[in-house]
Amino acid sequence: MTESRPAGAELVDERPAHGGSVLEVRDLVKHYPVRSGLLRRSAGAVKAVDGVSLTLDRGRTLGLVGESGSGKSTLARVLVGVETPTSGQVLVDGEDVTGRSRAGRKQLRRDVQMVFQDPYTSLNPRMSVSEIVGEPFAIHRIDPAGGRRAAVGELLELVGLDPDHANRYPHQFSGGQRQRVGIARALALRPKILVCDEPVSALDVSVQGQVINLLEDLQEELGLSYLFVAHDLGVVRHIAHDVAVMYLGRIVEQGPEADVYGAARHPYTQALLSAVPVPDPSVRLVAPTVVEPSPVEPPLVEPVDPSLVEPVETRIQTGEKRPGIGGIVLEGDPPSPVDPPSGCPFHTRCWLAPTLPEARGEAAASSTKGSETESAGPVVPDRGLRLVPSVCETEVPALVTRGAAPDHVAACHFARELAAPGAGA
Amino acid sequence: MSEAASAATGNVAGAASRTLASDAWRSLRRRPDVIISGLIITFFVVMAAFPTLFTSVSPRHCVIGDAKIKPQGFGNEFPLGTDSFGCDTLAQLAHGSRPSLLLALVVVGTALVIGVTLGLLAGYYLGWVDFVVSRTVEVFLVIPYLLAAMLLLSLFKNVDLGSGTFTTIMLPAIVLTLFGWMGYARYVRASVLEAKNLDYVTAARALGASDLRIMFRHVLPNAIGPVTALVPTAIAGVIGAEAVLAFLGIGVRPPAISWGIMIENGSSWVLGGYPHMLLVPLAALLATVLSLVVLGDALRDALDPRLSA
Repeated sequence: MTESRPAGAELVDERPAHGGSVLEVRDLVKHYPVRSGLLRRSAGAVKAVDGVSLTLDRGRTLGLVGESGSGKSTLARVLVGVETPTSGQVLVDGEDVTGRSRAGRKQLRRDVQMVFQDPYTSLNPRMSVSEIVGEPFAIHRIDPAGGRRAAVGELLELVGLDPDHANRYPHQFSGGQRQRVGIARALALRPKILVCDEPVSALDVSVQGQVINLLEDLQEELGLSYLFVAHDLGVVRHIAHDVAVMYLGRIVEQGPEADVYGAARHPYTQALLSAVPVPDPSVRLVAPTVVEPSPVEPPLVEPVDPSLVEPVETRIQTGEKRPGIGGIVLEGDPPSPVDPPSGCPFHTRCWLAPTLPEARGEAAASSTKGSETESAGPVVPDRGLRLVPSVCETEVPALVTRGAAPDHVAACHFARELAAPGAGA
Repeated sequence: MSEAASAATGNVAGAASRTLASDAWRSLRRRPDVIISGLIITFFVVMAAFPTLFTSVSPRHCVIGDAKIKPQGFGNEFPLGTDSFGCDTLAQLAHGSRPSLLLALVVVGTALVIGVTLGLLAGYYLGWVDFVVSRTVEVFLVIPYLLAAMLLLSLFKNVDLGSGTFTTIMLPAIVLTLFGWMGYARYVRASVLEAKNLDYVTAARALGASDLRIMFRHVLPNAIGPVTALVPTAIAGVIGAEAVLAFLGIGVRPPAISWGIMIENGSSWVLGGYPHMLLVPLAALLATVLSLVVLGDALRDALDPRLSA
């Protein structure tokens, strides 16, 4: 543990590469038990992460998007070792790190580090910047060549801060500068992977771009791999090479950025994309039921330049569809992760399923047959008129190749590219 | 809006090697209230250490014929008068400061260590640790402290511990500590619960910091705030409580003297036309406590980077 590592700009990872992937997650599950009653018996579990597999290649960025409560942050916390997974494996450079001893986990922490969402709570207000950035050295008892002071100065310079400000306290910095301090702290141990948990969503729009650019420069300079958790699809599109979409603790669609954004297959992804604010509402994806004749024949979502997409928090609109806007609107809130819906977890809110001929066919069948099919019938209890194909309710869709690229996968029984107005499907 | 610009303009404070401690000292030196409070505390500490500097009369030299003399002013035989037994008030005040201040210091110090440690452990680990600590706190809060104090002290009433200053205060110190730590534990537990979920604690954990390091470097410094405000008043409370125990005959034992005993004795003569017997020790107690409040506040502000800049 006393091995000395130089810190700073000339940090290039000389460790041998293990194939292409630096991080591999296999069937990761994180359940939080819900206890109740006098004896505090386990009465179920919050299934925050429910069987997630993903791969992060060296020097690449994987964007992880999804609504609040979809389990993105829990997944990030498991990956940096703050939470222990209920089951599943996390492989860093091909080595399983979940079953390791305390000392082994400490080594993992040198390889995987985290950048936090809120720069105002992620820095200890009672420690100076040099103490904060130098703490990783103190924890791991590393004495970098040239001393910790010099190493801290180099790290600050690396993230674009003045090393002379090392004696200042966090409250003397702006939000963007604090985020840079947080990045410097994460880089101190020369990690291979940075898990960024919504690193720019708490920042001003003008500062977001600077921090994103810094992350991109650092990736190029240090050969880092990023797992970039965000709910901002515009930012993810800008920085990520690959994109994974999470819903209720599972990945519902995953693939190269261009494929997922250009030709989303999962209805949830399509709904998310349609909610991205675009400068021109007429190029927005629309649901097939609300086809809006557009005079200019715009292509798919393709022409939206990432730099034009305002990095504003993406929300799924709830409530009524507003006429003339035509985005896909999901109704209601995500179901409780304590008791997720059977079959496809998305079927209770899916906009596609009720429009399918399969749903109508079964509805017609059940109405003629009467009471005998009612118990197993496709009628969703909370919405009397909502009919979905029974396969959506009973079978969990597998994550299988659905797109043009072989690594573009989606978990939907009826995955299909969405027809946009004026463009063929 | 550029970050670089704002960093450049704020360059004045960043100059070189100023540490938090030196900054704190610099800002404290400039406040008159801090200087006055410091002088008062120093005065009483010197009095406790060397009472003979302030009076040449023995506090146990009491002539009943000199009873209830009003203050005569300095330079006379009884500058602050005498009490109902004819003992010199100034001599009693000087000699009584040592047991009183020592008791307060020992009780508050020990209770603080116990309470902060238990509160920190309970709030940090939760689970069964929290269960044990919280239930213990509740048990101690439910027991009427005066009743338990009387029971314990009368049990040990006939045990001879010797006549040193420390041994005369030992029994009341144990009893007052035993019933004085719960407040600190509860305050610290509550603020630890709040502080330990902040991102900087998660960050330290992600870096592989040990529990001990997280507790003492990250959680405690940010959770101790509410407790520091309790300490000066707790010191006053201990001196007052000691007076009550003395009144019941189970506190600091005569012939030892304390401010608490003086207050207790003097209070019965306020309406009889001799308020000085109460006012002299009371003034000393108030001056000490107020100075501690001012010093404590100033120190807390000076050591908080957010307020000291």
